[in-house]
Amino acid sequence: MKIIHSLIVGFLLSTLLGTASADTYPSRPVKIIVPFGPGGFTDVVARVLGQKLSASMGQAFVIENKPGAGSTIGTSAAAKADPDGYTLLMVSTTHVISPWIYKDLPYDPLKSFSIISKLADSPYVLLVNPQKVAAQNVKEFIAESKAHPESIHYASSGNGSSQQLMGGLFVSMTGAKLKHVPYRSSSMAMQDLLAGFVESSFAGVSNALAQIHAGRLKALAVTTATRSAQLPDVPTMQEAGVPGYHASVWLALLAPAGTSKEIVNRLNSAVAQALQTPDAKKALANVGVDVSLSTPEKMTEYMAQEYARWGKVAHDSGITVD
Amino acid sequence: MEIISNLILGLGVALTPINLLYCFAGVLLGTLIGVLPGIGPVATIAMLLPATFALNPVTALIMLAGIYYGAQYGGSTSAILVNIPGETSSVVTCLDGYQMARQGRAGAALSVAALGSFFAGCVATVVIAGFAPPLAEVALKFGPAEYFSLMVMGLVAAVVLAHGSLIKAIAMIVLGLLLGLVGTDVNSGVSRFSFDIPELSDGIGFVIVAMGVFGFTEVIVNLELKEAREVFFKKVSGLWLTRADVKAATPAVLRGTLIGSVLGILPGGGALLSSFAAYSLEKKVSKNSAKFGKGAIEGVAAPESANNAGAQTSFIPLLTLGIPSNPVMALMVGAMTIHGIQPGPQIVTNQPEMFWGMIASMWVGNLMLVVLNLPMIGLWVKLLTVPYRMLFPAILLFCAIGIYSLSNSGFDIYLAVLFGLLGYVFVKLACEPAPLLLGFILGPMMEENLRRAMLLSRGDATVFFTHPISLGMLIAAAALLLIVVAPAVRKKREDVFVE
Repeated sequence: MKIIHSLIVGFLLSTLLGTASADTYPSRPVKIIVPFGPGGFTDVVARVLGQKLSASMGQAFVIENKPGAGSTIGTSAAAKADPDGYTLLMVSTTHVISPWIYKDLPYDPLKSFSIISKLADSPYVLLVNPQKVAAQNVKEFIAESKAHPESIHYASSGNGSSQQLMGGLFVSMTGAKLKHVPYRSSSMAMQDLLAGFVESSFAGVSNALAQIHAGRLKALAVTTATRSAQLPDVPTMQEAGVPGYHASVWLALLAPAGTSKEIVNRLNSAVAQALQTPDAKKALANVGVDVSLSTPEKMTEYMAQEYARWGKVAHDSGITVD
Repeated sequence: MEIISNLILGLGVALTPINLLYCFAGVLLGTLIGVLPGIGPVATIAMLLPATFALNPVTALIMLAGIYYGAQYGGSTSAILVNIPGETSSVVTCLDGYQMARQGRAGAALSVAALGSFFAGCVATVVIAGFAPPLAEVALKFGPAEYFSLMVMGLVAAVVLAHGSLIKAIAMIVLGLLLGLVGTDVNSGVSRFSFDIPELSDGIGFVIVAMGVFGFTEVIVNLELKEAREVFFKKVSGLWLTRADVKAATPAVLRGTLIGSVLGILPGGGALLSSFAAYSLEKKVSKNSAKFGKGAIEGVAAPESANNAGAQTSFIPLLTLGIPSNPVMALMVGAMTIHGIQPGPQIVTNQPEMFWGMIASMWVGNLMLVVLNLPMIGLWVKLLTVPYRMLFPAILLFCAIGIYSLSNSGFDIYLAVLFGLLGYVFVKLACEPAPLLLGFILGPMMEENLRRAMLLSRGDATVFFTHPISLGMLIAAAALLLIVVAPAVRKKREDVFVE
């Protein structure tokens, strides 16, 4: 009886206070726009997060995939949404790369959004096909590429993809003579790397683990400042002799600019709670991302740095998509 | 006999009550989304992904796989009954399946589709069980040069698809190629024919074109020809196959299964290409090729067997190399990794229960599908007796929902409507949409691989002739071309094809 009683009271209270204030937020389902197709790691993380938030905040967090044009279609839809906390946006590093590549975007990657939190970091790994590349480490790899200019290619998931930019950053920092070969997807790039049609690639760790363990691909270095838990024996770029190279593909949760501070903070702590549960951590580790959280302010600052950094890499490598 | 002990191990896993239950849930759901046009396995599996979290990984994968191959069964139903491809791979089934339905033979068409799929599914399961690792190595032999030559061969074969005039068929293929150019060029990053519309920057979706020129066009045409529709409702006869049907369909099923099993292994649209390929081949080898496009049972049996076999064998690169060959397989990778399984060569040795359990479940699932689908045929055929004025708004609504669900974009619906109108123009001009679709699929892949091959060979065009597989396919394409253009043969061809 007592439970029913408190349920009724709770229901009455919630209808009475059912206005759009931060106290009652969320009072209806929340939409998380994922500007990528289903199945990618951004989508998988969004779905894990959505499920956790639905449980902890008492309202459904619904994932809506709006893929296309280097994530800019879904992102502009989110930028145009009401800043009431009921439309959120999940972005990756692509968010600060696309503005350098696509002309005339209807939004500003930084000013059009209120940043809620960083969610995760995903290390990339420099892979070579050992049957095509003799190099045993990064230094030898650079030397080999310089000795035979443009005979070593690196495969990526397309023009302006983070896989290409990881390679572009490497080329600009080391002077290695690598030639870029774009594919339509990361799995097509991986296939040709495995078969030896291309010699190297920068790929997400989880996509490559099985092949590395089977000995079909050799991992020369991970792109992050610290080693990856999944590849403890593979050195970081810095350890392998490329000082200053540290890069990851990160994920962040954003809301349209002008979303109230209370709602942003509320979501920030809910996200932190959700992603620190052991099963969420484990699920994310399985898809190759490490949970990495931050305050809204820190992430705003970090995104501005990343925006400048990848802009320079895109410019240096002459990357354009029209 | 290692394969038998492995399959017994797999059956032990697949036949536990919980796995049987989820397998059934998967195939049932798959059949439903297959029947509904547009709503495909990608969206369904994505939505169910978090729900599988609590399940045992094997159970989860059995269910998700069931959705995928279940959809291949269901997809033929709407293709046959209302000329709308329920799944992309059932586009070809529309050609003859719908004609059979118009002749009152919808029941026979549905039966042969279900039985052909069942047979193909069983064979493909054995192929996976017995030859997965060596076949995966074959897939790796296909580089940019080989893909280019395969596409060339496909395009030449596309000419065979049409049953009208040769010139019109070629024109439609070229139009398809041009439509395929829309969007950002993979190699240079240059945006082509996208007119600064962001939705066009990734190109036009295949489903949008297919739904437009088949589904929407069909509705328009039917509304115009009111009387003709009424006639074909009235003479719905025999649900079952006649002896002559079985005789005609059996070799078609066998050839379709073979083609599907082979092409399914190749990443990049195996199941879809295989149904086109099976249809073309059948038309070439069949004694009564004149009947193709007018309700030939072989024209349903071959592509349906091929797409189901292809759907099944497309698991091979995933399970043995960890490479997803299509978007559904990419989702399966997501489902596996979320459970801590790295798809790749170690699965067979590290997780034999999972690997063989999943394979055995495919056989169990196929059996469930045939049991599920055969009794439904009578019900489906009854659907045809619903007056068209009530049926067509429902068809359009489901199409619109399906198209919207592709990427949650209203723009896609408008685009499909546009293709529907274009399709109506094609009907008036007596141009066939099938070669257009094939050009649309093959063109971009051909260009992409041509340029990638040239990039990797540093501009040396001889790669297409020095790679043996590539050379073989180019020779085959040249031979096909000769057959099509050789004057004597051409004359014969026109006798056969011109109505």
